Amino acid sequence: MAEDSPGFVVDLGKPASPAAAGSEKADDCPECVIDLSKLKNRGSAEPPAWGVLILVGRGTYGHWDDAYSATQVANALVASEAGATFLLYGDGVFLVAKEQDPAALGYINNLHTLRDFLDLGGKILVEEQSLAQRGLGTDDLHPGVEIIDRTRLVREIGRHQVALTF
Amino acid sequence: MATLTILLNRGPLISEYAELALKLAGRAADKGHRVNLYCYIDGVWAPHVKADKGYENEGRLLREALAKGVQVKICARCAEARDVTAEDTVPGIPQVGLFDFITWLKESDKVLTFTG
Repeated sequence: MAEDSPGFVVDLGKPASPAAAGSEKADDCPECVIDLSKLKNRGSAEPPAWGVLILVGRGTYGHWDDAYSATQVANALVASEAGATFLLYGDGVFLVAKEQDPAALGYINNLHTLRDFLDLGGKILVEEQSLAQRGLGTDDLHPGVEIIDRTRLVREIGRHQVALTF
Repeated sequence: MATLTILLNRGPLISEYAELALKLAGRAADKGHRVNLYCYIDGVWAPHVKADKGYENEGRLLREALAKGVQVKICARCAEARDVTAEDTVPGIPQVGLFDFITWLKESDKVLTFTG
């Protein structure tokens, strides 16, 4: 994504991609303009009234496409100015492992997408028992994620209007 | 009348998820509900089953669901990754971006995910 542009243009009927940025003038399609600066400033403002909880319980890379596909839904949500929260549990906690580098496997690094997600006001919650069971702690995770207990997990499920499971 | 959106993440035959999702979509439509079905990840393979078979199959269920007014869309990126073209799938199902799915989510009273 363009870092400093006030807005970029995405054809809402097609997959968003960096190649689409700037390919259409805002005058031609005002509703297609996404105001990135507004989205990035949203983190300190009131959370959106409508939000989606995205639960990920599977690990990254390998043969499961679920975690990567979850990140695509998450970024489409925040780009639509909806609330979106990742809730990572089980092997899903590996999605935010610090300094992960799947280059040797030939996969796209999920952290690129997750950095955009956090920049655009998204939240990432990690279930603490799942981390402990895998010998992981705060220092092993990408900055900006929050570790929560199971009481908070239940509260988050109730706080969101929609839950999607990957 | 309520609006139900189904996210189908699994393909046909390998598990029951696609079959269950399509049967549920059809039954909800029978009851007069508005039903949306978004084929995501390996769910894009469900519309790939086009020809008649001598046994229960997701292609037939999908055609029935469409005839009942169920709105079905395919994730264009997922289809492209698997080389699933519009010609490969049951007619009348557009390949679209994720923003169509997000719009459906916002319009829905209930959302169900079939991931497995």
